[in-house]
Amino acid sequence: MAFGVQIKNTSGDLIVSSDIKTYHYIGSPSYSGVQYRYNNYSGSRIYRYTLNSAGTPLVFIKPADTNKFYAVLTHFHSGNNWTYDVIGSGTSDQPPTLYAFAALSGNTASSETYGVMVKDSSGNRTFDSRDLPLAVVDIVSAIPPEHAPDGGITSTSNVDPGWHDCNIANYRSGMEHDFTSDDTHTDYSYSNSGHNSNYMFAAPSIAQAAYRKNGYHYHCDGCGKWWEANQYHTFTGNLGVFYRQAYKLTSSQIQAGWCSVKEYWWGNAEKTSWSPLNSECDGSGSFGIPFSQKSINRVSNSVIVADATNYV
Amino acid sequence: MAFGLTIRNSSGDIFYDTTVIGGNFLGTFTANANSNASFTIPHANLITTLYTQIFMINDLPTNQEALAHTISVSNGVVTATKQGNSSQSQTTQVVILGK
Repeated sequence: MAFGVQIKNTSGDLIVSSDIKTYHYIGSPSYSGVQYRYNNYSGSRIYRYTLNSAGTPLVFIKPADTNKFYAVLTHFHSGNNWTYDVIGSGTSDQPPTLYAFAALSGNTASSETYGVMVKDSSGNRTFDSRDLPLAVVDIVSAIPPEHAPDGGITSTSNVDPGWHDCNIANYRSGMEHDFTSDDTHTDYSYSNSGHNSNYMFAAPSIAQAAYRKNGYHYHCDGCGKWWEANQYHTFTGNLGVFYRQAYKLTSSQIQAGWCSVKEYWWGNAEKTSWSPLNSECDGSGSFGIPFSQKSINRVSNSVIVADATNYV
Repeated sequence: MAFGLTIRNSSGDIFYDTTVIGGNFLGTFTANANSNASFTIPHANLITTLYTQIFMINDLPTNQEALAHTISVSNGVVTATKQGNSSQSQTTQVVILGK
């Protein structure tokens, strides 16, 4: 560099530069409520937040419960209005607190006349201690296990759930699997020497997974019995669960895991006889799971850890 | 501290200490659905370690096989490559960090 400021640590890592815009705290997004609840297996909630920012924000999650998994599920914006959906595991509402950061724009609103400010060659601020620069504690590349269910990958071979007449719901227990996901995670250590209850992390949920069980039953009353009319009983059904990637931040680890988000359940039972030909118990509907027996978008993604104490 | 920079708030508490900073924001860009995109990292020669973080934007959380872009980095350029067909490909935001 011919001019400007560079601050490096003893490892040679660049920490502050007049050439690169450090992210600074812009506020805590407003919580607007629960968008979606799922209460089976490990359960999940989708929490919604809104934020106004001229620049593209980076949002951190301070968990409401350190035993739960969280991640930014998706976001969308119109102009300066940003909306974030955050997923959290569990069967109770525990919205986390969010903290948002963005590159500096314009002049500071602070009345303080002291501190450290760095500008680039155009005179734009890249670092200003009065606007609370983001102090990253650590960055960890994390990836969840390939298969989300605690019971492992399901078999697509048909299971026989028995015959339950028109009670479609009664077929389900015979098709169950351990679809919970609390215990399925990959663990990573991070620089936690200063850990406290205000630690937060920024991490997206892009990996998805879906697994299914298939059920089939057939029997015939009367077949082979000359004194009884043939009556055929057939059931087909599918039970599947859809997952999204999420993370748990403990005092010593980042755990990359999964949240069960939605289930897909469908069954069709038919009872027919030769005379008169009839059909009963048609469950109708369709299964509808978008894919199954795999995870997608499963790549190493960065989890950024910081201390929210500085921004509370 | 024997080296580096610490910044204290008005209460005298240290809130920024270069000896414990673990990374920095370098830039962000958006790759639209069904399109590739790239981003040149400013002053990439100053960075020893790069990290990328990818988000999907506007995806349907539960009803779609939604595919994010894959990310590659070469010579200070981050490239996002679309995946799948037009109904699977999602808009992806890429955040680049480093130290």
